[in-house]
Amino acid sequence: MTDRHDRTDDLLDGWFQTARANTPGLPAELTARIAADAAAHLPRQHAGLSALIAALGGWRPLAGMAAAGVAGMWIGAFPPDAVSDLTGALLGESVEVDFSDLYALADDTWFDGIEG
Amino acid sequence: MAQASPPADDASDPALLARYARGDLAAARMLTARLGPRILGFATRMLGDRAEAEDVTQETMLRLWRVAPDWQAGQAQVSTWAFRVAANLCTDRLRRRQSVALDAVAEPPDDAPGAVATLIAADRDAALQAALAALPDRQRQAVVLRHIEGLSNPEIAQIMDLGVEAVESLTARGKRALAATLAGRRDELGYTDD
Repeated sequence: MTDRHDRTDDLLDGWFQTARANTPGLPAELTARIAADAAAHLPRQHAGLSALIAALGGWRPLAGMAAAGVAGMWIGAFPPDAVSDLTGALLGESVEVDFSDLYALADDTWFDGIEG
Repeated sequence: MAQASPPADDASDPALLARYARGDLAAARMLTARLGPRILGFATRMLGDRAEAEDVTQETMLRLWRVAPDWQAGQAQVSTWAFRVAANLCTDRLRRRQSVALDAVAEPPDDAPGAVATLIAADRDAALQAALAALPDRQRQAVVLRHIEGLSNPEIAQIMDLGVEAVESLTARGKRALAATLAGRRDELGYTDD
């Protein structure tokens, strides 16, 4: 079996050498077509977005962040009763502040100082 | 933005592909110079038609550009991947053909004074191409990849999606058939003088 393979190899070796020597070069026109494809598909235009997404950990964490954001906006716009009760308990009752005394104080000190 | 330095001549294929994925067209030119002629030679041997082989080469490289941003380092050799794509494209084209046209084999060049050696080489190549064209597609593919493109059997196994033993069997059967076809032409084409 091995001898048979060797004889076959010997017989074909010259043919294969000739074929290897005749390997075609890349024609200029084909090189230009391939170069045009490479330029058209250059990934550069997406590099900024890709880098940002990669920095945030990829698409999956980004989708989670987006879902959390939407849920937060929804709760803020339409708070359930439980949330309203909770915020009321945490922040206490509303307080009214009258700023008229502060204005009066500012008039006395500020304007007196300017006028000398 | 700072201009990147040109890729080194000895940069690996995956490194060049990664540079292209970052927007470096010079890396694409180097990959084309390395892989293009090999893919073109392989496709020409498989199809026996230069125009079709050029289309296969362009399509193979196009698919490489598209896959570049998602290329995983270490997943495969770039050349093996490219040969696999080219082999599949050739197989698709061969399947679409109803029959192999006899005139698909390249014509030997016209006689020219002082170019006997060139003519003999061209005749030898045309004879080999005709013998290759007579092989079953899978045998031709294995023989061309092994003995003309110089790939290893494990690489060919990856390209053809076969085991290494199956590749060895295909190659051996292909070579025996080639030897039987070409044996009668050795004297005619001057191999007895080698």
